[in-house]
Amino acid sequence: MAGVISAGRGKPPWELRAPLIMGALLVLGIAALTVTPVIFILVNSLNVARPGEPWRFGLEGWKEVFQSPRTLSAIGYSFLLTARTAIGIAVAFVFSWLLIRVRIPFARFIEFSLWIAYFLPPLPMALSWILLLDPNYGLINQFFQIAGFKLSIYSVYGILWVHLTTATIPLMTILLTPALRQMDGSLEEAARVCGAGYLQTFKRILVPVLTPALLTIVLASVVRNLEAFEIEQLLGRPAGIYVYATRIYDLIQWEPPLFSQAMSLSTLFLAILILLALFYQRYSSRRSFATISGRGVSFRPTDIGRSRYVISGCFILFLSLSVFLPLVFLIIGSSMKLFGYFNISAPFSSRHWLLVLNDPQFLLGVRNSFVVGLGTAGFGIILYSLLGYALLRAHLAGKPLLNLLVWLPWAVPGILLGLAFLWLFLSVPILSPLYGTFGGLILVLLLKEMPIGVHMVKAAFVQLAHELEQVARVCGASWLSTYWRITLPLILPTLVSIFAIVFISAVRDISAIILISTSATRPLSLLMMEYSLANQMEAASIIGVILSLFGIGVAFISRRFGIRLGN
Amino acid sequence: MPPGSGIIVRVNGLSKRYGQSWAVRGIDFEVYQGEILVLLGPSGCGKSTTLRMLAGLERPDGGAIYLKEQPIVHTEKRLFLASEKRNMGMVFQSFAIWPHLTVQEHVTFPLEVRGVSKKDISRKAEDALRFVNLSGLEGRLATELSGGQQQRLSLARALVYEPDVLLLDEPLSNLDAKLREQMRAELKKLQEQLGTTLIFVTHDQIEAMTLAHRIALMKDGRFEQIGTPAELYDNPASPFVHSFLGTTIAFAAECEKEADGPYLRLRDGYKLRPEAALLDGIQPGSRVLVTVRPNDLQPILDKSKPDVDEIEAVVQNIIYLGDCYEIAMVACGAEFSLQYHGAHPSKNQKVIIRVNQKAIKVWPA
Repeated sequence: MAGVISAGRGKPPWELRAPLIMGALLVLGIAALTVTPVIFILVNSLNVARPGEPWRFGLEGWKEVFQSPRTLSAIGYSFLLTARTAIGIAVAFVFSWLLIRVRIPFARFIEFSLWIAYFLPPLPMALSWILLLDPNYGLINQFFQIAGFKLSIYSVYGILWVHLTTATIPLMTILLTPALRQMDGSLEEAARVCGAGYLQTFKRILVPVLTPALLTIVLASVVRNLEAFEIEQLLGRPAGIYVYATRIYDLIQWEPPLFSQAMSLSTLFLAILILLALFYQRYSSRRSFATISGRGVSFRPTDIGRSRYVISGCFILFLSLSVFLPLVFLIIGSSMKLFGYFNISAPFSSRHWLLVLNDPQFLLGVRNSFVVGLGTAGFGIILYSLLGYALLRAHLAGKPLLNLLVWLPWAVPGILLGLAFLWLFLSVPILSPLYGTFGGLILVLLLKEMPIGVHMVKAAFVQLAHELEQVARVCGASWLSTYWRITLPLILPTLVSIFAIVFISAVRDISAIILISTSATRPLSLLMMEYSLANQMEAASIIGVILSLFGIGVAFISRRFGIRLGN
Repeated sequence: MPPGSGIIVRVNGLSKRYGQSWAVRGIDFEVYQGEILVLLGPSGCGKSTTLRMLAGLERPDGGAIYLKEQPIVHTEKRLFLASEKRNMGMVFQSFAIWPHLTVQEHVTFPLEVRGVSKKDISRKAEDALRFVNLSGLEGRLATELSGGQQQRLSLARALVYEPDVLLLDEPLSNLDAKLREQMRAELKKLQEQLGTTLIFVTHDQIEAMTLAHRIALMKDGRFEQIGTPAELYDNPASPFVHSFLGTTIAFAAECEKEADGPYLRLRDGYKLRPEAALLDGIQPGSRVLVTVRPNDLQPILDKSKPDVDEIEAVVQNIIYLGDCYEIAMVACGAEFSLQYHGAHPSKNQKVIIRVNQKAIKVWPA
């Protein structure tokens, strides 16, 4: 007995100073990874020298940003396209309310389909929409032509539509449903019984109570929207629509690359994004209304009679239009002789599949995707779970700072991260061996996925009552055997999900690695991008099908192991 | 008949199904103007579902509800009046305090959505808050109130528009024991002052006994019995009612017949001979269940052999409660406790206990 009691009490003297040392080491290590790229972009926006040459002060880059009409128009389009946040939140609010509060048939299927929509890579979906809505050969346009008008996917509306259906609406709904589920349903019921109708209850109770959740989701979405790259690259460029991310890519493609202008434009958006992100973090760390109420009252969805079939029908229609139709047409497009041409004789053929599957470039791409995906997910699991553990459980100094540093890459768009590391690789001698290697790609992707990865690990630890570990210690288990025999088995399902999610994010990433990947390390996602930009749509859609299958697989895995993205 | 006596709510054949299981299986009852009707029962018996159907928060699968003889729900006629059009008030178990509104805004909300004039709103809100003793706290955020104050606020919100019926869904179960007792008394006083009709859901039999004019005891979606607290306590319609209200001791027995008439034979051969009328219609030789309350068991000191209407019990455990001793004992296969003031038997001692044969109830086993 005496031994058990002293195990909880005694503390070796070195542990007293350990928190400070450990904390400082972690803060410095993470800062080196996350702050360096930001500072590099900032410093080099004032540099007019080329990479490799010594730094030379100049404001040409900044001048260009505010003088070049294409850059100015890119800034304008960047903000115009964030309009999808407003549309998305309105739709997602209605969607999640119906899914949680009303008993409708197929609710689980609908929820899972939105989950799948979120995990589908956006670029293949855009390819499929080209097949349907290309102004020249789009299948839907061929029908519309009879009526005398046509739609074009290469437009602001086209870009908005693809974003809304593949990412914005599904993700917002996925994030909003837990908030609604947590909210005590009797708050709405009380308003109804008091004499308020649906609309008044919505306006005066539901929206104000959920405002904190809504605002955090809106802010998160604005940040994400400002980071978008590949859809704009594929659908915007043909119509002369640039956003700042595609404009930066464009500037780097010049010969010689216009680094100083790219860096200045990056700094401008980094400043906006970091400001938004800081505001978001301050706001989301406050207690929200929705979570403080509800004292264990179970809430049943309401019966609404026959209109439930109408609502389900609308959901299925939306999902068919936004997920299933493009998915089916992606597969159809991948097996066409000539992408989009349905009226030639024998339009389907397996020729492209055979060509692609036997193409050494493709086979190399598969290998590279697996190396990059498994590498990022494998190192990610170790890094993220250590950081998550350190932030929640360990006795450390400087936790708030560490939290902020871990989460900083969230505000850095992939293209900027790639740009910063490209410059770092080119100009810092000790880092240059990383250029063109898998190590470089994995490092950048590890950083990019760090905020969400650590967040998911933390969520898993929060759900795990601390007493479960404490009781093991009191029973006489050491820190290590407690972690190995209690903590790890309990969070293993979450770790499997995180592994899968990091894997798919790495495999489908384009923006972060497009500037630093070389032909030897080029993964499938970049190959698909190159094929689509070179108008080899058949080959691009074949890779799209393969990446989509990866995405659907991960959606199933993460659903199976019950990951939650909302708080 | 209860106070007021006009029927305000009438329910016919009301039923509700969740998937394959029936939560409420075709119940009928009336509520009289100005009474407190308590829906009592164990959790999952359908009492809350019944209340929520009255409020319009659940859609029944069968039956009809009439408010002041006007149908508000009629499943056959596909009639379902929305919650907000029923002029009922409701107090929720969670209090349903809106976290973004102040105390004042809570009571003005129902008036505003009803389009009451500004002048009347402020007067009525003031009255309502004074009535529940929350005057002076108008500007506070409602979440800053204590549990008891939140409870009173949700009551004020439900009363401010003078609803025809006030529905309360386990309103006291989120309060601690002391506060619950106090609120129970306040609620009863308020109801007497206002004369509002109350339908009150609880699983707590003491709450039901102290508040109710009438109790409707529910089990498995049906009414076991509906009547005044005294009717249910003294003349329970089933062993379930008997055991739900107050403590019950149950003995298995067989009905036997001898020359002097029928009697009950308990385990170990003890005899009970209640009034013959009680055993009318029970076949000799059939198994029955005999229930009594602890008050009807009287220990007899200085006696070693039981006679008729007496049983022998063995003391199992002794608990000191301060003002008395609670003696746990076993007799005829039943475990029960009796309270002793002063001298008490010791552990494992045998005690002769006299059963008040006038108080026993006999049920078919």
